[in-house]
Amino acid sequence: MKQPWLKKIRVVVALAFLASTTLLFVDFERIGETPAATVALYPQFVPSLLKFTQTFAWAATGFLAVLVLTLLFGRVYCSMIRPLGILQDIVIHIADKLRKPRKVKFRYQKPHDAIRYGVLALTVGLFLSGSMLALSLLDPLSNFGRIAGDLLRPLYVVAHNGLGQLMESLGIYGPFPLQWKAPSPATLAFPALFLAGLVWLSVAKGRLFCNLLCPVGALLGLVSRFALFKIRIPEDACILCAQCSIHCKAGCIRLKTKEVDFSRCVACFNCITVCEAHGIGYARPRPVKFYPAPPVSLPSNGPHPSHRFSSLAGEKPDDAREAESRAPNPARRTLLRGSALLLVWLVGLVPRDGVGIKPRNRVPTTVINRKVWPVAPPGAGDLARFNDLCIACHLCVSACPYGVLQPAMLEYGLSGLLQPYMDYTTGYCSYECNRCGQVCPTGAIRALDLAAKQIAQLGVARFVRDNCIVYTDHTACGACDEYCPTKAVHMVPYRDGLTIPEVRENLCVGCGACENACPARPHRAIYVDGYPVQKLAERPISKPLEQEVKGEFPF
Amino acid sequence: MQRRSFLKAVSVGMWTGTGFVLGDPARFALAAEPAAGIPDLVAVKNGEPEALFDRGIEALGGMGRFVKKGQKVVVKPNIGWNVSPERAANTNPRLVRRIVEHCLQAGAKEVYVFDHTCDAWRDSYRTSGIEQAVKDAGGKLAPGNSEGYFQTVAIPRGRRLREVKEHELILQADVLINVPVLKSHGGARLTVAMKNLMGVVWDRSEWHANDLHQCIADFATYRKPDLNVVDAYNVLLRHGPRGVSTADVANLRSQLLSTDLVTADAAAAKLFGLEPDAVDYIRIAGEMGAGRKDLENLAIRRIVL
Repeated sequence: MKQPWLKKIRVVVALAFLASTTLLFVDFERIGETPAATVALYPQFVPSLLKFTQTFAWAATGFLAVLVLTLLFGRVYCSMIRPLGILQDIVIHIADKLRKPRKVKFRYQKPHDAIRYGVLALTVGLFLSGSMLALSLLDPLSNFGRIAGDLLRPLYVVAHNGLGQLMESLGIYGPFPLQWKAPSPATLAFPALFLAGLVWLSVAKGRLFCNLLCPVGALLGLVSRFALFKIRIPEDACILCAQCSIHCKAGCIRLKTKEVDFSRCVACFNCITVCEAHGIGYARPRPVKFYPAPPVSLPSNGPHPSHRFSSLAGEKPDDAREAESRAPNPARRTLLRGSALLLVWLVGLVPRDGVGIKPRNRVPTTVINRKVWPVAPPGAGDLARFNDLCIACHLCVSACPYGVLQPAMLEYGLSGLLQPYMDYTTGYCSYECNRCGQVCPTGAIRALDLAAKQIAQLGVARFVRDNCIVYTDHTACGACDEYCPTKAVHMVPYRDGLTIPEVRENLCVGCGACENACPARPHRAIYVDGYPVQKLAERPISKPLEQEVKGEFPF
Repeated sequence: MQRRSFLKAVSVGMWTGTGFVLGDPARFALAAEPAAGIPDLVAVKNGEPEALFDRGIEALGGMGRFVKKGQKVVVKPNIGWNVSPERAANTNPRLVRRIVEHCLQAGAKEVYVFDHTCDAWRDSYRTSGIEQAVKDAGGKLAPGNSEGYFQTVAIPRGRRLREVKEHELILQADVLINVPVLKSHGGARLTVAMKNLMGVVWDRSEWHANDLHQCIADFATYRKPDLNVVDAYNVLLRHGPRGVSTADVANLRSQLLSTDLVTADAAAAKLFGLEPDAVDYIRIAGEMGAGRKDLENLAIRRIVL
């Protein structure tokens, strides 16, 4: 079985997928509207499956393609298409280069079926009961999106703008600066902790995440049990050198029995490449008569040949393993205690109106704004529906040119953790933009055309007169009116020739431009309260002007 | 590099006694001292934006009076909003193009165009048509959306506004041409030349929080453009500064040109149907001596095409 080309194909395809997906999340403007983006997103399993349940569209059949691919060749998806898997492979590769050369890279690992299928059952169960918590915290694309979009993007922006500054010092304007609006810092803790854990796990245990905690890995593992072609070790060629097993990132090759646990195999093909005897590779199951199963009991005059290699391949005796797993683990307890404390701290970091903000207006405002509902993105429709479909991958957050979409902490409640909401302190929703719905890979944000988006009422603006500069300082302002795209917020006569805002709720689309522009601090004088079910605003009607055409100049 | 050499020039200038010329922004006003027979204000109507400008600038002595060979010019239109040209929320791109062409013909080394936009700059530059117009004319677009481009400057005569962060291009430019579009404005009533200069500073919100009218007038005492060209071809008569639809727009086919931004604003107010003093910042700026709003005492050249 000479199939060394398989790994080459894997590496090329994987790097292409990783590059395009990463670029999509860090610099959406560059490739967001190109075929590369479509190709990169099409086969992402969970988003495609969720979108298919919404649209039944051809564009959302990527999960079917992945299932077919898995039924043919196993979990090729996990090493070639899924960016989080590729990221782990790169971490493993780099760690390997940095370390002292060692013979045993990986050891055979027992399948943790109870955990991986338990995670799968929990994820599906929570999803069916209407909570996306498990899926958003564990789904590979969600996690990759948050790592690339939330953590890598700010670094990319800094580097990009640094280059811009360098060019500027040479007297050239360009590349123009990118903007990054910082989310609530607590939300960054999730991708940061996940990444740290993932790096540690990959360096220590290879692809254990994929065979322990990843619900997609568990599901595709079930499917790949029925694959038409599987990686196998036929009896005739194998010389029991153990190279395959010590290079197996998934720890799924057991030399003792010459078995490949294909449900855990991530199809990286490293085993095929390192096997000098060409004793491992893809093969169709052969009839039993050609390859009889190895004998169960062995002659007593010596150990089974494979036992000579089991220590090399890292297999510990079973009783030693059990004793290890039963012993109390202080490190694990510290970790648990630490996570509990961290959670408490994170909850404490949820922003509250006006906290920690220095006013620049002469008279600091006093009325605290209490939003009853969070504002969901345009096209979310019903909050419950939206919360049930969003996997918090943050592609919309990366793609939003106005920096208004930000990950939520507890704005939607615990099951909406990290899902995007409209944060009108960092941006506002442009009247001429409907991009979030166009890019949403799960269909949680519906793809509204621009005309439909322009009457989607996400919430309604509430004017707090006692916080308004015109009222407190008795000077003109009108920043809210200036930005309002429909003139739902407009200025009416106040006193001494001043004008003060007024809201026409039927025209308000809840875009938050008014809230974003309002200079009053610490509490703004106008804010948008969301709707649990988005409504339709009236289209702004403009009566014709009574235009006077003057023949003379008026001066 | 340019920033550093500018600062160096200022400090050297102060030592050698030439600091006044280099450091004092009043040099812009000095450069635009009206020559004999040249009017204080030119008003043109009944034409397309290009033709209006051609005749207007001719009446003001030609572009060569403002732009000398090898100079660095900044043209500051209003590119605040992500809306198309017919909505008249931004300066007409045809006018911007014509002005850049005139500057280059007069021998300008470089002509920069920028605005610190309200909507996202990328969208606003593109949708307004100004990005294409500038490229076609041979000018250079500069970004105004990053705080790194802005430097703190003092406003010595400001009453509320003591200092602002101003775009470095304004500090570097030999010539500043202010090209506002005349529009209604919810907060300030009207936006023309003085208000357009809010787009060269970083923190506009601070102005809104600290007596908008006074801040606009304060800034007018500091920065005097060499030339102001008011685009009144299409005028947003209501729902400004952004507007809701083209139903808010009147086709006035007019243009105003003046070296004095207060004069330009006063005349624009009249054109809009308001008395200059009804707009607080025009009244205050006039009182503070930032420019002249007494149109009746000024030399006005009226041209009907």
